[in-house]
Amino acid sequence: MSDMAVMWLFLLGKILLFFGIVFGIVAPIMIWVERKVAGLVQDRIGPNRVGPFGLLQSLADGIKLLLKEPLLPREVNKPYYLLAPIISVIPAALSFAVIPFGPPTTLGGLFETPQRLQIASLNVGLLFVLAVTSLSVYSVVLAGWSSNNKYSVLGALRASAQMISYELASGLAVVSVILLSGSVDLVHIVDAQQKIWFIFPGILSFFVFLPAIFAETNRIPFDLPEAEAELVVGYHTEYSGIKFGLFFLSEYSIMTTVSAMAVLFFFGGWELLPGFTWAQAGIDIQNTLIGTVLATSWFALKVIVFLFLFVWVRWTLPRFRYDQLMGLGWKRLLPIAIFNIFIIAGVMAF
Amino acid sequence: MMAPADILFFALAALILLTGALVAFRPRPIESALWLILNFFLTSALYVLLGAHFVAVIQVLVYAGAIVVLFTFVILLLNLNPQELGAGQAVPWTSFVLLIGTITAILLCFHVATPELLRPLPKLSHPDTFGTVESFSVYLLKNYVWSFELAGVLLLLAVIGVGLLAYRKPKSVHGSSQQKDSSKTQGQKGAA
Amino acid sequence: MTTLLGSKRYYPKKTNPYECGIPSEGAENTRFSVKFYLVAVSFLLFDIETVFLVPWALSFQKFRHQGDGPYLFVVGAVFLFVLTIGLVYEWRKGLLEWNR
Repeated sequence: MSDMAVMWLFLLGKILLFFGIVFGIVAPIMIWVERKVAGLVQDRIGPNRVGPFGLLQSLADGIKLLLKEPLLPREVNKPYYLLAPIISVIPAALSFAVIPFGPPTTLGGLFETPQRLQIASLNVGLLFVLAVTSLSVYSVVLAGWSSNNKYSVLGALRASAQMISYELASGLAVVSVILLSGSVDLVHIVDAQQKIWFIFPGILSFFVFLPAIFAETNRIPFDLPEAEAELVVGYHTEYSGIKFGLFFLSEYSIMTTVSAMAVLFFFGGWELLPGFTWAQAGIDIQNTLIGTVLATSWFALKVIVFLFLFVWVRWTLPRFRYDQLMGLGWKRLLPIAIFNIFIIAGVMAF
Repeated sequence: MMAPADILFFALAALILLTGALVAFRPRPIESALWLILNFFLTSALYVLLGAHFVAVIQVLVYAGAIVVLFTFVILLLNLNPQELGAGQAVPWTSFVLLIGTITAILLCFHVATPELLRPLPKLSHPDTFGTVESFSVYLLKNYVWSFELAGVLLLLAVIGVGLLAYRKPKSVHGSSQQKDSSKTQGQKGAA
Repeated sequence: MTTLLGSKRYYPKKTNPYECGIPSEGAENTRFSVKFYLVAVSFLLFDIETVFLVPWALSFQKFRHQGDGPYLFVVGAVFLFVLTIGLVYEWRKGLLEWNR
């Protein structure tokens, strides 16, 4: 096969694999994990009827959502109402496109030079992810506004205000990672952690980053805007069926992206252990197929740990009141993040 | 004939003009905001075409991701009807597309027919590191340090401006929970 | 897709905006608090500060290798300091209260 054809096939394969896995496998499994863990934490069993261990529950839920009556509330502003779920999926999918899932690899000699396991390899990949996730505010706003229900609008405003407030803290935490790695290219950031994972020098950054990503994905303990939807005063209230399903899907997809980011920034991406790379263990992750698969699986494992953390925290902690939430973002995390940059730069300079 | 980059440029330019016009002429402010986001995205694509990747991403991050958010908040807060805004009849889509399309077509004809007039400038040779984020950053911090600091001061002035704005309007708190809110402001004024 | 597959039973009552089961009350065009505007503006300003910090952070290593580490640190420290003054100002003015 010609070179070009191989490249195109590779690209297609990457796209199908990544999106297929995230939207088709991770999201449904996450929903199942969510409900099982919820059950276990609450001293009950959780879904166990549909399929072995209730594994097909997500599938059943999905089918149910598809078949639900397409209720279009009367007061609703139709084009925007339908647009909002679509807009929520776009940033989720887009940000996913630059996450590298493994080391640059020749796939066991298939390519001459190492190719990246990203759908799009941007040299400003990090900034791209930040930019795209900042767009996720709009789906919330649009959903709330188009529902033509003043409580939905208020819920949307509160949710958006929460998201942008924590974007600041996470942005500054990321700046410290840029300081440490000297690059905004996600693959280079991982490579820069070969000596030591950034969780160690950047422990304070991680301390800021973690709550920030919880808040941006509207997960407990920061999910008051979503909880308001349960109480009929949120931006999701007037949504049902596949439209609601899309919101849900995008939430889990962003969770995955953000978990991947946490692993890439602080936990060495696909590197074996802090200070002990695959190369030192004698495994060539770039040129051998086995090595690549090992490294990629290791990365996936770390991301899964984070996803589990999301679920675990959700069913363990109570949620913050809104003013507490905002106070935390602006009066605690933001100053800590600024101070952290100061410290890291200071230590690096002297 | 025309390089693919040229065609892309004209396509982008036409779309940018189109979305810009749509921002101005649609009756609902939310719709204008959405078209503006699209506009910024397209402008960002234009920057990518120029090889300015950093600026392209920042365009989306700051303009589409922060400034339009601000606009959107204002739109939601003001909650105005299109009638209150004095909007006339919505100018239909199709006339816009036709208008912009015609302008673009005319410009294209000029470009193709008179290459001497609109000849692209000879490409200056630049090193491989031209336009990369790293080289740009080093250059910025080396040669424009004072501008850098000044930008920080400007932002500080803006923050102070916000503070003054907020302080001058103590009664500007409305909202569905009126009782609680007004007592909160009273408390703040009393304490301050 | 739901439009195709879903059931077509359509009761008028279902489509009214509802609040706890009671038909919606309250004026249709209540205005909302201005606190949201302040959050958005502050977010914008600090977001731009973050954007400025990115080139600074990117070039830090390069300056450090050339031995100019302390210089760039001071440059950044001044910038961060100015930023912090802004934050402190907002804090003291009580703009970070309640809703924020």
